[in-house]
Amino acid sequence: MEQVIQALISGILSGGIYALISVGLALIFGVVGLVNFAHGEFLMLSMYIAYWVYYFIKLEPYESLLINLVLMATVGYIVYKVIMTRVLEADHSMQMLLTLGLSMVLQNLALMLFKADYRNVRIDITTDVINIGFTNLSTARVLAFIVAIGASVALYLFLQKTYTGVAMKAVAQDGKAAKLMGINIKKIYGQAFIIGTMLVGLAGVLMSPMYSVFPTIGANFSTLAFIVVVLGGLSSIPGAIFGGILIGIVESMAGYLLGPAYQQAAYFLLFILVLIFKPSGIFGRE
Amino acid sequence: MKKFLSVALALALILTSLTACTEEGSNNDVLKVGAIYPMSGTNALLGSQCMEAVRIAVDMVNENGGVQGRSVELSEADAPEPTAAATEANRLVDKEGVKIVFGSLASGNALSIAQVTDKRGVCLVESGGIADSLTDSGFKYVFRILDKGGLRGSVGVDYIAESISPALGKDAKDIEIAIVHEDSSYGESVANGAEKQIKKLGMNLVSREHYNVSVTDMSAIVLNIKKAQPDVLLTVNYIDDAVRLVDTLKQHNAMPKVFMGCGAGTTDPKFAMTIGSDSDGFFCTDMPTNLPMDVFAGDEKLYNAVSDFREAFLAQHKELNAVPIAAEAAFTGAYTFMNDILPKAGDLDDPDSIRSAALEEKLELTALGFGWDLGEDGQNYAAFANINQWQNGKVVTVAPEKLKNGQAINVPLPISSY
Repeated sequence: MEQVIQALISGILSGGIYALISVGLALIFGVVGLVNFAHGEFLMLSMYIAYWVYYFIKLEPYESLLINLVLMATVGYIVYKVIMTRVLEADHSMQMLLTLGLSMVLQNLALMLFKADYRNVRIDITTDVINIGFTNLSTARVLAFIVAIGASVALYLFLQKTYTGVAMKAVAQDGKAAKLMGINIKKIYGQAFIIGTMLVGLAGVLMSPMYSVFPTIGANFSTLAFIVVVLGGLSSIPGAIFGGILIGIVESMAGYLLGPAYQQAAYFLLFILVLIFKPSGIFGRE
Repeated sequence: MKKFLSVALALALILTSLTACTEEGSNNDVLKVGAIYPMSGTNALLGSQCMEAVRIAVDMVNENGGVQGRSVELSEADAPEPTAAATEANRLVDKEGVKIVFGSLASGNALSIAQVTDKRGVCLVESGGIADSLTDSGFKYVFRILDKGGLRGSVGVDYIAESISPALGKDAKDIEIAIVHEDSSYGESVANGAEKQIKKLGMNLVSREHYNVSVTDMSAIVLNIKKAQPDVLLTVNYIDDAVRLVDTLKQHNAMPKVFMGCGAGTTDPKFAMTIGSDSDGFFCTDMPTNLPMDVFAGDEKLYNAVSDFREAFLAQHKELNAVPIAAEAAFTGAYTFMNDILPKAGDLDDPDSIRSAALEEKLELTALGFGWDLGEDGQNYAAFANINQWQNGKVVTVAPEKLKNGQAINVPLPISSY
C-alpha cells in the first residue's frame, strides 16, 4: 500500500510539470487559435539557456530564472512578429505546417550548434530527496510542482482579474466581437504568444536539474502536452492543469500496477475514451 | 525558336551523357561506401560518435593507399529511426551507388537497412545492432562484427553466478535478479539471453520489466524494483535513460546490492561522468572497450591504427577521457573491413566475392580485442562480451581472465539501499 501511495504522489508531481508545459500551449491555442507544434522546441530552448548560463557563469537554473524568462519572451516576440503574424488569417493546416516546420528548424539548429550531446545541470537539488513518512520525494520535482501550480493559478487569476486577461478571454471567445469592442486583437495575440512561451520557459528552468537537455528533448514532452491540452478541453487553463495531473497519475499508477510497458498505453487509452465520450475535452464547452 | 530549343535540348542530353561517362570512368578509381547512423533523434549522441569513427577509419585507409588502389569515398546518412534508415539505405544504394554500408548503432535500424541492402547485393557491416534476429534472418550480405545480444545477456548472468554470488556470500541459486530493459529489439535480445541463462542455471528471476526510452518518469519502474528487492539489477539501456534510472533508484532508496548494465548506455564514459562517484562498482557487460595498448603489441599495424584512432577521436572530444564503446566498435567494423577483408576480395563490385573474402578471412585480433571468424550467417563467432566495472570514473575489465586488468570492487555496492 505504501508503494501505491508513493506511485500516486510521484504521478501527481510529474503531472504538475506536464500541466505547466501544457498551459502555455492551451493559452496560445485558446487566444491566438494557433496549434503550436514548436512548443516542445521552446522547452528545449529554455533548457539550453539554463544549461549554458550554468556552464558559463555558474548560475543555477533557479538563479537564472529571470534571464531565462526575458530571453524566452524575446524568442516568443520574434517568432510571433516574424513568423506567426503572417499566418494568423491563414487556414489551420497552413498554421500547423508552419509550426511543424519551425519545430524542425529549431531542432536541427540545436543539433548543428550544440551537437547531440546530452548536457546536464547536476546540482545539489538534482539528487536531493525529501522524506515525508514512508515517501521519498525528489526535491526538484516537489519544487517544480509547487511553482507549476502557482504559475498556473497566477495565469488563471490574470485571465480573470486583469484588463489584459479579460481582453484575452474576450478574443478567445469571439475575436470579431472583441475587435468591435475596441480591443487591439493583434496586440493581444502577441501578448498571449509571449506569455505562453514564457510559461514553457519556466517549465524548462524547473526541469533543467532533472532532465538532460539534447536537441530532441522537446519531442518527449510535446506529445504529452498535446494530449493534456485536448484532454482538458483545448483552450481551458483549468483543463490543462487538471489534464496534466490526471495524465501524471494515470502514467505512474499504470506503470506501477500493470508494468512500465503500459505507462504510455494507459494515458493514450484514457485520451481515446475522452475523445469518444466527451470530444470537447473534460473542461471543454460543447 | 522550337528548333533552337530542340537543338539545345539535344546538346544538353549529349553533354549529360558525356559527363556521366566521365564519372563512370572515374568510378573505377573510387570505392563508394556508405555509413548510416542516427545523427539526430534520441540516439544522436552515440550515432554522431560512430559516424566520426567511420570517417577516421576511411581517412586512415585512404592515407594508406585506399582499397586495392581505389580511394574510398564515404556517403553519410542520418537515420534517427528504422523508417528513415530504410529510406536512407535506398538513397545510398540507388543514388550514391554504394557497395558497402557501415552501420547502424540501433538494432531496429540495422534490420531496416539489411532488408534494403541485402536484396540489392550491397554488404552491411554491422557494428552496433546486437539483436539476434539480424543474423538469424537469412540475410546473405550482412556481417556483424560484434557479439549477439542474447550472448551478452547470458555472459552477464554467468558472471553473476560465478563471481558475484560468492562475493555476496550466497549460492547462485539463491541470488535474486530483476531485469529492466528498454523496449527496442536491442533491449529485448539482451534481456531474452539473460532470462534464458537465468533459467538454465536455475537462478531466481524476481521480475522483468521493459520501458520506452522516452518515458519521462522512472518512478513506477523503480517502485516495482523496490517491491521485488533483488540482489542484482540487470539493465539494458541507452545513456540518458540509464542516468535517470540510477537517479530514481537513489531517490526511492531502491538501489540493489549489484548494478549490472548490459550495453552501450552504461559503458559510455558520459554515463559515469554524469552520475559521478556513485558509479563506482557498477558493472557493465559489453564488448571489450579501451583495452590497454599492450593487447595489440604483437601486431604493429593494428597497434598503430588503434593508437591513431584513439588520438584522432579524443582530439575532437576533449571533454571525454576515453573513446566511447560505440565509436570503438564502429571504427573496428569499418577499419577491419576495409583494411583486412576487402583487399582479399577478388572483385570489389561483386558482393559474392566480398562475402567469400569476409567468410574465409580469420583474424586473431581486431581493434576490439577479439578476432574475426564469420559463420555462414554472417555472425562473428570470435566476438565475445566481457565484464567491465566502473572504478574511479574509468572502465576496468574484470572478466574474462585473458583481458582482465583489475579486480572487481564494491560488491555489494556501498550505495546499496538494502
